[in-house]
Amino acid sequence: MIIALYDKIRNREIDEYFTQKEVNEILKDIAVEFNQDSTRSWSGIKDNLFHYFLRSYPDEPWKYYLTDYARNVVDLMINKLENPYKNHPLEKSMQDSFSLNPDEITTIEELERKYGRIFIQGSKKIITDHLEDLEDELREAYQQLNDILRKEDEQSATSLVREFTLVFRTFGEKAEDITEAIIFKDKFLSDLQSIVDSFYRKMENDGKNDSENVQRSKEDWEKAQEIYNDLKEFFNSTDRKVSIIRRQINHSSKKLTELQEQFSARAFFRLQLKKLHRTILESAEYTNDSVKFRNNFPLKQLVHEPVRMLFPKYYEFQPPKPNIILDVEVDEDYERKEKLKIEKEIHRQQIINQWVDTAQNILEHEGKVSMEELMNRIVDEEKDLSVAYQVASRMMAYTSENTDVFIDVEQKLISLSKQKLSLWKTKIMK
Amino acid sequence: MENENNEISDYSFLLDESVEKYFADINILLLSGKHIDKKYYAEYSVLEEKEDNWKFFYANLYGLNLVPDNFDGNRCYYLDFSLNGKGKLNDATRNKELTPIQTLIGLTLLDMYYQKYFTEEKIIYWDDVKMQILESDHQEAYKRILFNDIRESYDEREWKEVHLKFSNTIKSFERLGWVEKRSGRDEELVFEIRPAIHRLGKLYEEELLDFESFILKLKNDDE
Repeated sequence: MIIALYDKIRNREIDEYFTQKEVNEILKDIAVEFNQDSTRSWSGIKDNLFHYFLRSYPDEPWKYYLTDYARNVVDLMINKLENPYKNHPLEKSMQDSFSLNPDEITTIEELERKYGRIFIQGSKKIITDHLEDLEDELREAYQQLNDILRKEDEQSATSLVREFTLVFRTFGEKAEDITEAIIFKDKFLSDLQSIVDSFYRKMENDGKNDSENVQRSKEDWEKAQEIYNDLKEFFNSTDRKVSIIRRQINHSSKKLTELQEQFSARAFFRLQLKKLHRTILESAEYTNDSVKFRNNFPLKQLVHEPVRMLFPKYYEFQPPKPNIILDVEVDEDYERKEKLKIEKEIHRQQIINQWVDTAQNILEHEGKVSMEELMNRIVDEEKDLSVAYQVASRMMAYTSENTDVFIDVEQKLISLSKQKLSLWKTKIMK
Repeated sequence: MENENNEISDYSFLLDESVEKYFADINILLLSGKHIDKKYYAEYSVLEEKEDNWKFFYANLYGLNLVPDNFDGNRCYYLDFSLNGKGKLNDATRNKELTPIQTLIGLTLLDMYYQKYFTEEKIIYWDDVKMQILESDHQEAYKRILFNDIRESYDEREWKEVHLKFSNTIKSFERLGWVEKRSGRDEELVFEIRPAIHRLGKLYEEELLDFESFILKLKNDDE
């Protein structure tokens, strides 16, 4: 629909701003041309095309126009189909886009206007488009060569060679063109470099003469250098594309030479392979997970002894040791000593308890207990200071537990007789 | 390269520095069926440099032939059974028979190799395979063998099964050096057909030599 509109506008069959009636007629024509059962309705496709491809004309809202975007898309298609560069050598495109006369450029503004990043966009695009078309053209040629080769059993060798040569002429011409384009490009870059150098020399001179312009000429030189780098980078990328194209041309020409040398032998071999291919297709049948042969189509064997390194993940280097229960004999001497220790401790605790009881009795009956007297008495009778100490501690604790028992501590140091212990004069009262 | 008149009778070449360095790689690759061409540059060079020594080594120790072959202008090395049997790899677990699907796909790839004969790298995308199945001269046979039904189009599930059949075969061909995979795991298939795919044609040398009687024999089998 867009293409039809584009076409009719270009041929002046309809106005640039067209009406819905004209659109409907085009839709009818399309239906006839493509044998469609019914004509598609405008309202059904309008929403898809609106805004990007079609817009309403503001002055006359019942009319529509094709957007620039739509025109570009169709232009792109036409370019792809018609290949406008086909009959133009790459070298010519380069010459037109990148001609350089060193004398005509004296100021940085002139250089920028001619080759600055923005001004050179168009020229760059011509070259990249040209290369892309060249690739397309060559790809088509390989396809033709491959197709011719596949027909080799149907045609005589001489007619095949003739067909090949015809297609191959394209490669020859293109290869020559590419070489010349590269020579031209090298010359262009070297001319551009000399212009950059002239800006550098100017900067140097200004520097020597201590001129005020030195800063400005430095900036000029930097701008020139930037332009040079930009173009060099661009040509590097075209170089890469060109080298792929050249490699492919070389490969094809090598293959063609091989073919010509051994045409009959190869053709026979190819023919045999084709027959084998057809035979296997005739012999094979579908199965759920694979394919089987319904006859004894022979299967072939290949050497296959992959080296496998097998190793267990864990390896016990020694057989495990059994768990043995050792029956330890009773050490009677040790047992007796330990029992004695325990009995002694129990006995000591009993003595302490008895003394605590005694002290509490004294407190109950006499209303007071003197600590140093109590301790002296215990040491005298039991001959064990630790018992006296523990009884005293228990009595102190008893004091704090019972609110009706008081403690009176006088800050007067008393030493126990024959013992290395001193305490303050302490009385517990009730 | 060794002088051909020199009689080789020992394995001293194994002590060469380059051989020591690459021996394990070369031996493992060759024994697993790999066709070593210049894509494996280091291994290929070491084989080429001491070709006769290597031949002696495999003939004597494994009873196998190390074959230096030339497929479509590309040299490559591989191991083959000697004429008098399978050598030390006689055991069924030590050699591999190509399956019917592998043979079928292999011959299809050989056909596709010639569709791209003038293109330097024979890169095949899954779409190329689909085209071969749907639109080639043999489309009916392909559809019958792969889908068990001849139709204009097939649904996603059906294609998935065929994709699986192809990708499994491509994986095993890659181990042989017949193709080089360019796509990753779980990606749609992309691979390059290497010239070594011609080995498959060579395996059928005998049948091709007297094709008429081969066909006749198959026909008798059918009946």
